Amino acid sequence: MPNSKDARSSRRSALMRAAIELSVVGGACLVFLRWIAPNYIAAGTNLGLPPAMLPTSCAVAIGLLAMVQFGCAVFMRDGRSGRDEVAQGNAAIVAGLIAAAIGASVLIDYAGLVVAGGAMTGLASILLGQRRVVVVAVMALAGAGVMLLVAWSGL
Amino acid sequence: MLDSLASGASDALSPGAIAAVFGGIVLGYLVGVLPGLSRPAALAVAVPVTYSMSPIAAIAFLVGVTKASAAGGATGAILLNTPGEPSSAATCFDGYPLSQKGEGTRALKVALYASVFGDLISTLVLILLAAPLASVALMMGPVEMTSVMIFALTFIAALSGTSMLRGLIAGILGILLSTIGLDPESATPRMTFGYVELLDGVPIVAATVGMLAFTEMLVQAERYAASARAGEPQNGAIEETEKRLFWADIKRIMPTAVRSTGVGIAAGILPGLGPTIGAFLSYAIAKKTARPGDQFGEGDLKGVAATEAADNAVLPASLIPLFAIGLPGSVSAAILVSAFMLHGVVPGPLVFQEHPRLIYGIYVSMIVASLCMLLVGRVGLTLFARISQVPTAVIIPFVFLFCIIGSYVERDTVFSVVLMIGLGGLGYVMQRYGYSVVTFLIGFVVGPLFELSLRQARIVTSNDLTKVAEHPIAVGFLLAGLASIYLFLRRTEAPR
Repeated sequence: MPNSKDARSSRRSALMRAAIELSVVGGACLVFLRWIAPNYIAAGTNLGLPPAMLPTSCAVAIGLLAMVQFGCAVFMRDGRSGRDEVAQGNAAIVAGLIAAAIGASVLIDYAGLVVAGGAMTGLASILLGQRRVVVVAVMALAGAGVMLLVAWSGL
Repeated sequence: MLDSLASGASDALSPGAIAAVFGGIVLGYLVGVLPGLSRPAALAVAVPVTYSMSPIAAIAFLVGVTKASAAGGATGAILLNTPGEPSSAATCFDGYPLSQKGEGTRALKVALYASVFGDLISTLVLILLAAPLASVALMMGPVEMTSVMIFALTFIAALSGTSMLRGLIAGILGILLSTIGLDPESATPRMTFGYVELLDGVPIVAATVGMLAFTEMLVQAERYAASARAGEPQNGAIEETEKRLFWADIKRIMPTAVRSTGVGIAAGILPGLGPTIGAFLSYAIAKKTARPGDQFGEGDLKGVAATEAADNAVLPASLIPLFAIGLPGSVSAAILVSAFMLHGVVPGPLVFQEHPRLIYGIYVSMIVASLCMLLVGRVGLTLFARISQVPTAVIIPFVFLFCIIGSYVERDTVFSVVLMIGLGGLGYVMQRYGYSVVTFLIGFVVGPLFELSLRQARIVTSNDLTKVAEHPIAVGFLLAGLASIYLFLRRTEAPR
């Protein structure tokens, strides 16, 4: 019975994903409730609603919904708990582009808008697989040019 | 009245006033197209420019800036998934998929025509119904506003995609993030982690640009890399499959445009709602009332018409409470008050008696501005549509650059850029695991107003829930909210 074996294996991995999802979302809620809310929301005055009321309610609601989501994954077999397939990604290019964007934004403070613009477009081109130096240089110059316009216009 | 109308029209149709409107429209369109330059910021910068102008030319110029920035914001949203204005963020949902399908020009045309339509109808409503509608606005207290917000929040379910629970989690996470900053009642800091930049909360441009444009570019980059690995052609430029807009298309989107104009007018009249909430609400209503064959979220012209008609209907409608009772209905209207006062006019019920010629002149200028917007938008459209012909390998790096510029310009700090990148990363993860970034943004936009009205409502009702029954409008909205939850659950239960 290879089909039922496949189904069992697929269900096991779906349950595993649901458990990981619950631990990530629920864990984040617990971190918020036990650490962020008590330490980073001031008590406020005695007037009106406490400042922590809405954020705390939101975190509790998210935690409860995550548990219901997990419950749906455990008890519903017809997939009504929502799409569980996770698209294949390319972590390297995503991480590279995020790092390039962070690097460019740091450069704004240290080297100015123009250099940051050139670095962003040049690095992004390289990360997208461009290996011709002339094309990368043109992209970097064009990016720097756009930033030069922004800086010149005083925006 | 006719005398005032005639003399007002002659003022508004003078070459100087028309040139001012035209200049305002061109400036507003540029502001709208560039991400990060918000409408209120552009207006605030433009007010001092009007010092030397006559009152009618000054107001006409500012009205032109406001109207055109609303219309121009759709361009980036449709072609690059980068909304020029937060209120254009909802236009991304269908505009960008249309552009990806090779129908960018059609989407731009619908955005322009729906913008002009919403704007014109709203202006006519302003002219004809300013006084009676303003009295309705006066009936909306905090209890009513809270119920409007709850009603709006229930629409999250309508937009939550395949999983209602994940959609709700995303929406509530949006509200949670919107609470960062100063507490609205006691002004004590919440979750600022010692950063002064967070006292004003998470910048809305950083959130919308990060969640929509930055996330989308990460996904596009992945796809581009995958197609490169598979040895597919690397040009990536999108060929336009159809540029023309047919009569059948117009007939199909007309009811949506009319309904969305109504939503925009309502959002403009009610102080505080503003164009962003108006556009999101209108999109949600259009999606909820979709007919078989409609493809909301996958590239439907109706989706573009819904958001743009509502967005552009907000400003003229927000002048209704301003002219009738002196209460601005939106941030843009509030900035216009300063321009009025600069030229010796105090908006309010007496303005019709004290400055009838100016008021009718402004009305005529607003209609002229709508027509100028159509002209400038139609000419610009041909130029803007060429963006879709640019290869993906060029588009992706430059959209990343625009994301950085947009979030940097809003508050002139790198902190906003880092926040935008962080939210972009969060949006990417959310999108991969089925959490809707759309509902996140709705929660984020609605959050501050919801909290404020909830707190005020609590004071008004002395924390007694039964007192809500004394507010029939609020009860009506709450029942409508419950009905929408019921309809959603019924739809979920129905076999697919």
